[in-house]
Amino acid sequence: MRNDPGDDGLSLQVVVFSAGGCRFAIEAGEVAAMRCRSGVEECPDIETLLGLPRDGNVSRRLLEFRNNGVVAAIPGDAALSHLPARTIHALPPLLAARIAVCGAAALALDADGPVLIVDPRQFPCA
Amino acid sequence: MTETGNLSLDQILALKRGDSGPVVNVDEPQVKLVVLTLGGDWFAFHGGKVREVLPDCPVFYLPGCPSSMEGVINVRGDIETVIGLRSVLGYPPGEEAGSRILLCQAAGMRSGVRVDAVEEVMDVPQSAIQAPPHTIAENRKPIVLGIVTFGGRQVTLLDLDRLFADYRAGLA
Repeated sequence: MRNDPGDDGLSLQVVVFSAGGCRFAIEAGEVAAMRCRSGVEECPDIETLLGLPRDGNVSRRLLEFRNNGVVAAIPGDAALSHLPARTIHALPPLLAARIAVCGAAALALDADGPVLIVDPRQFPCA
Repeated sequence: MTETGNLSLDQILALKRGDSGPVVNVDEPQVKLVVLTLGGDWFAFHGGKVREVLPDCPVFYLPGCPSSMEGVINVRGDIETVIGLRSVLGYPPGEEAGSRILLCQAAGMRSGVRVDAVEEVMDVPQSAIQAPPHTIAENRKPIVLGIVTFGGRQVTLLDLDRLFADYRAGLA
């Protein structure tokens, strides 16, 4: 019998946002704060931390990460969400070896497509 | 011949029949091959490395991947990568329509491999696999196991273990 954690209604609370044409998620426990960007605040874009090309001129919000105090500007909105455990998978080996996204840790696949789960503790300026 | 130099009955009867054609050793190990095409060229994988030919399914793009990695697919609840054999072997991009994804297992890894078409699954005697010619492209030498003739065509047998291992190491 398959031991599927999703059958128990288990889920991972995450902050979800879009960047580089893909949805990303960060464990909610790793996020200390989410706020609007004030005009004077200098911080890296999340694409820079992830190692991706920067999205165009879109409004940005700020995410502050708990363990390292890094603050990153994310394009568009971020939302608190739950990913059912049954949809979360370890990265397939070839993907884990070749993906150039910094902090890529796991992958969730739901009806809307993939969500790349990243670990902000792996970001370069951490 | 027997130890004393006498012929066996089978050998005597074969001589009487005038058998002079090539002797086929029915006990010779057979090798199952999955024959596929790519840009008009013919290739094969060892059948034991190909778990299934997948029906058409959506491939989900992921950023930060090499261009040869198309993305990921959902195979009955498991996530698998898809790599394009065209790109890996240096062929220009081709039509996706009609192409197939083979779910392959090699070098301890599993991944989808997109090919233009699957032509045949066949058994050939081990001896039918010949050493690759010296004229083979330098970049392909490490991943070519041999050459098989099928339907008058040369079929290049690829080493999926090496291909996956090289891909993981960023060499392919």
